[in-house]
Amino acid sequence: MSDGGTVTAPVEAPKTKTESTLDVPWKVIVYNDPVNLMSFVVFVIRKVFGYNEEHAQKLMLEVHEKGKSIVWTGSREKAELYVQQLQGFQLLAAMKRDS
Amino acid sequence: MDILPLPDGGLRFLEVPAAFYEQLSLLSQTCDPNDDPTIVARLYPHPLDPNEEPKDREKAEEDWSDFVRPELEAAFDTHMLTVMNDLAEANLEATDDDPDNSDDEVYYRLEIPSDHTHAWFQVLNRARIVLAMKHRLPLSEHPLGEDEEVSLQRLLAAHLSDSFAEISEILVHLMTDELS
Repeated sequence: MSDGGTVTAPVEAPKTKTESTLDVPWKVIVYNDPVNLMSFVVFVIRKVFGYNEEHAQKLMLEVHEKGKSIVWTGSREKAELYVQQLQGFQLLAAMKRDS
Repeated sequence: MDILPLPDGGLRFLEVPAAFYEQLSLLSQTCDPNDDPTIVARLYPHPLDPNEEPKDREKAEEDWSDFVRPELEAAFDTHMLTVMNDLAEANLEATDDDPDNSDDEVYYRLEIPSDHTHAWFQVLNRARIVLAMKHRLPLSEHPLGEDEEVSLQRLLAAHLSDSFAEISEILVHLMTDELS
């Protein structure tokens, strides 16, 4: 919004390789596993991400039926933390750069 | 064996047969991957999706092995210690109402306090993962066509895994209640 003064063209900061790498969102993926109980997968998704039961059920069913589900997308730092938590619960989880 | 809920959210196991108590006491060995690389890879999977670039995967794996895996292992060791302590506190139970009964079956009474349910679940779940990988469970996915001894071992492993799964279902129910 203008404040009545002169308007200057926005200066775009030069993009560096580091910045662009950091900005890329990462996906946290849970893979299907024949051993983990379905009720437990729902519990873990709720516990780690704070999702409601309905959403956690939907993600668990996606894991079960399609072999994997993207359960979260965001910064790499947070994705690492979530993968660590999921693996701490013995779920098969990993992260992937969003393409 | 009867499983009763405790008022604090824990569980009480009554008439635990000695044979099952012994299997629970062996959970530490049951959960041990014995350096089998496939089982270790399942317990501590690669943090990056297989489609990520090999160079990135290598670096991430190195960091994960150095910093994250030791934390995960230490957390599991703590869970195992909790379970072993609960088992050590289990009491022998006198259940034989018939003094003429010469069948001297030994039973135990075991309690899992509410703040130990998570540790028990983690240990039983890992036991099921390791049993499944060591014995190629479930049986239905691998038709029996092997020698009798292997078949018997697999049947026993499947039975044990099923028993652990039944207890685990109850534990998940209790843990889920805590979320509400």
